Amino acid sequence: MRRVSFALSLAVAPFLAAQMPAGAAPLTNPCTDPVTLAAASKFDAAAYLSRTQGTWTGTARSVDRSGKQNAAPFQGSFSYSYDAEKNSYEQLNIYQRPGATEPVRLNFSGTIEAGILRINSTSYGNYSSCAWLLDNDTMLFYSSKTDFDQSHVETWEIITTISENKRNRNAQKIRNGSFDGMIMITETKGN
Amino acid sequence: MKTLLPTLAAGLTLFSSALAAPASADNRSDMDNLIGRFVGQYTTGDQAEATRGGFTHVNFIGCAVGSQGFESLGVGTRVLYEERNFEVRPVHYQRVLVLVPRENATIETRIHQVADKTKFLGLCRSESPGTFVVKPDLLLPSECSQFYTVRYDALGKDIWIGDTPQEGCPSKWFPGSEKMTSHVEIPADRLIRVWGRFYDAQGKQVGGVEDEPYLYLPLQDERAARGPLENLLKKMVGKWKGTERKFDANGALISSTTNTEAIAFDGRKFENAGAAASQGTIVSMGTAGGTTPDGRLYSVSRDGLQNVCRLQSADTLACSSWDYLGANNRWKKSLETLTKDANGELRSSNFQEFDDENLVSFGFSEFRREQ
Repeated sequence: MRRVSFALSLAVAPFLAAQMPAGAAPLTNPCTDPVTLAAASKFDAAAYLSRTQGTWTGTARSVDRSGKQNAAPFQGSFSYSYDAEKNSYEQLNIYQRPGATEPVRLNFSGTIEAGILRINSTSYGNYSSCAWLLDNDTMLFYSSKTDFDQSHVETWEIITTISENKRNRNAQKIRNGSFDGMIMITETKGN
Repeated sequence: MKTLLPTLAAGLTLFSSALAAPASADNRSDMDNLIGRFVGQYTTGDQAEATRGGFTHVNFIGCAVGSQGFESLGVGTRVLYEERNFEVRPVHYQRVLVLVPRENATIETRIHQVADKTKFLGLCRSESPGTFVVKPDLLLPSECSQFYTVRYDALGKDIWIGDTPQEGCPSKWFPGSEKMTSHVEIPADRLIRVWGRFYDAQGKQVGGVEDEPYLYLPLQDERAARGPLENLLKKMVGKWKGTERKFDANGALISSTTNTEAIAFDGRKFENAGAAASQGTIVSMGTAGGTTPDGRLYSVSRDGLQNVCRLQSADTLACSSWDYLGANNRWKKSLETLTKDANGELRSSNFQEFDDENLVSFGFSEFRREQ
């Protein structure tokens, strides 16, 4: 459910496999890890998505591992809906970067299987992501992708819903096994 | 209001009309049945987490012990020992329960403090607690009795119901209290519900629950169920050096601190002796008979945060934390990964800190293993 700044750099990523440096290893992919399945099955992801669906907007900020801002903040809107009967999840992200004439629009779709929302996108090469609940108000999101330079990029994100129209998100970014900064965003939900 | 130290708590009428009359008396099997539900480990940790400390986090362990000298109380009298500890304070609640069969399929549970706490402490975790023989002279006079009878729910499943006498029992356990009442429900799935209330000399409630009971969930004993969490914690053992940075909601850097951490883990007890010091234990959660790996790491940090951490993947831990004793409603969500790059092992985390509904900080940390 999450792309924010990575999404921009990955928008036309090639379909090549990542090349990890010697000694480095990717994290276990939670989307296929039985441990994650056990953790995810305890909460009702469908009820959460139904409850929180709508359009969330906010400003995404990105910092590197030294804490310095490494990209201009930009506005993003994240609209999603979940049809419980069809078990169908649809998401549209719209990013407006400073100075850009046109916003970037990205579409995602997904389904919930055993408490895990599995998300696909046709725009992103080998992009893979999934999300599940840590508790009734907190969603965890993981994504992995091969970047332009063939590095393996993973994100782990916490999405904490504070109220009906307020939530906070931050993600750590891991590139070839190394911590590579954080993205943070405070969002409000429109009508 | 924060509910305070739970006891085998008080209560009233939680019976639905579907509950039928007590079973006919077969005190031997009833006794075994009731004892079976006390024996084991339980925790209110999930409830404490869900209510951010509104309910105290209590761990309970009970075991059957040997006995001698209680024959005069009645044929079939049995003895249990129970111990409770509270994650946020160094208190051990130790009691011996003498279970005496009574008429009408009732079992009286006489509650005793022990004369010498050190003789009993840790008994249920010993190799064979059943060989420890409790005699009357090891106990202080009974302070209270609770009377258990079995009822049946609409599906025919039995529920043990325990109540103190209507007038309550003397108790100074809670500050300002003079007596307490307790109501306990123990269904077949061993999800124990406890309503405990404390009253002052004037009969005004000064502690304990309001309406919602304490919920004790049974822990699984199978070591294997904790396996995946144990594996990750073992990998974290050692010395680490790194930096933690915090940002406000607008992305401005608030603080940046470099720390060294020393993590120890012996298979159950976990300790981080660094600047973000914390201590805790891991447990296995689940309903009776469950086999799903579901380990938790419960810990308390030096800054007062009480943490519950769960494995989210083989190398990622997510923690929910809250400040139980502090004046503010401080809480935190965090994710920590253990990864490996070309230069060795790394632990990195992202977290969010709140005070009530207000974001205090976004943050991350990055720690590298020291050679």
